[in-house]
Amino acid sequence: METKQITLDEIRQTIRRVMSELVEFDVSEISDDALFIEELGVNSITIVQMFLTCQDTYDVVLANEMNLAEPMSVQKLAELVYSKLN
Amino acid sequence: MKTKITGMGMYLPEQTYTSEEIEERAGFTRLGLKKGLVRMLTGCESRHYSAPDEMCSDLAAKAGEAAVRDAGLEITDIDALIFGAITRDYSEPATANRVAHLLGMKDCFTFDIFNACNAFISGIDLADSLIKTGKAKNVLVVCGEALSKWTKFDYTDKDELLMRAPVALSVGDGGGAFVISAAEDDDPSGIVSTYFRSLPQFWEVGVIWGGGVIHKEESMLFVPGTVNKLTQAHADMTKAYFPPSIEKAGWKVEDIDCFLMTQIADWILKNIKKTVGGRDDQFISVIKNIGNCGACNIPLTACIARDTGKIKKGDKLCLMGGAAGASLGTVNVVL
Repeated sequence: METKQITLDEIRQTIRRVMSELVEFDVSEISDDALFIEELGVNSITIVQMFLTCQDTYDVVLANEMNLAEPMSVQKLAELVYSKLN
Repeated sequence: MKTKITGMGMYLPEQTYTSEEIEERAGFTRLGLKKGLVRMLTGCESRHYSAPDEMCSDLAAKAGEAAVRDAGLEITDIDALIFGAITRDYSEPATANRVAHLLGMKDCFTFDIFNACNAFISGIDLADSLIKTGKAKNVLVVCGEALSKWTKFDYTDKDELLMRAPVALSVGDGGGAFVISAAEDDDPSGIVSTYFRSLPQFWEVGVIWGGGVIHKEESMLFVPGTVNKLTQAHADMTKAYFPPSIEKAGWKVEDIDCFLMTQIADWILKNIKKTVGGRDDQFISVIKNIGNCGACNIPLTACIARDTGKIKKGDKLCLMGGAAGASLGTVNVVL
């Protein structure tokens, strides 16, 4: 049976959906490259929650890559998950 | 006159809990939070909790007994005992007194030293000074952290749980001890340098508000878990503080065999390693199995490193601590 390939765009959509449940601003208005902490003022625990949800949703291990000192965005997180899946 | 570490000992309570079990106890399911945050943020998967009747002094005494035995000494050879931890048995007397009583010490002087997570290495610094000024020959520095007893579990507010839990629930209990002894000047082992600095502008970060004269209510006595400002500043602190602490020893980063550090989160350890330009094999993380044991992190890491063959006699060690206060401390020592 052929397994459907998960695309980068699908992962970005998932991250945006998760993020919309955790932050108070309109996620549809942010760019994929906007940095969570530096540009959007997202708190660190929200980022950890997004990592955790992505890890569970896509059944990948992201704990070793979780580093709050490194800039993170929808695009960067999606690429990280995508790289783990492929 | 110089001093050296002649003995090391540790003790971990029998009972262990996974991070998910602790999250459940604190109300993650009840308040609708996804479990796994503690493990994701800190890397802590499991930790030891002391038994209900096990006090800080009990943990410290067991580790102290092991350290004295490791040094090849008798309890009667110890002339000073310093207890350094975040938690304590009572406000008064000094917990060191009960540790000394448990160990059967009679002809000695004892006292506590408090400096948040740096209490133990501050004790080593002081032991070094006591010996060099002729006030003691063998000093037993002990730590007994029962942080589980200062952990808040009765959360009723989801936002508060989310703000505090990932860091506060990663704590664990344990005991650690070093014997610091006088050594000959030509002894290859020894404490090479100590270097401590405080950044009091951060004094309000990570405060345990209870236990002092301001907040006497028990509800204020818990590990807060709100150390965001310190973790955000850790890279700048490391850059400013680390070079002079190593220079004082006359060492270079590549000379050091092992860094034994405060264990807050794996990602912080990785960033410090990157900031100082260290190699993977120079750093040890133990947070996965024992959590953040406060002031006991460094002696526990040292004992685990030795037991697993990661450090040995003759190695150059950098004991490097960061603590609320903010306090930064380094003890450079040849084992």
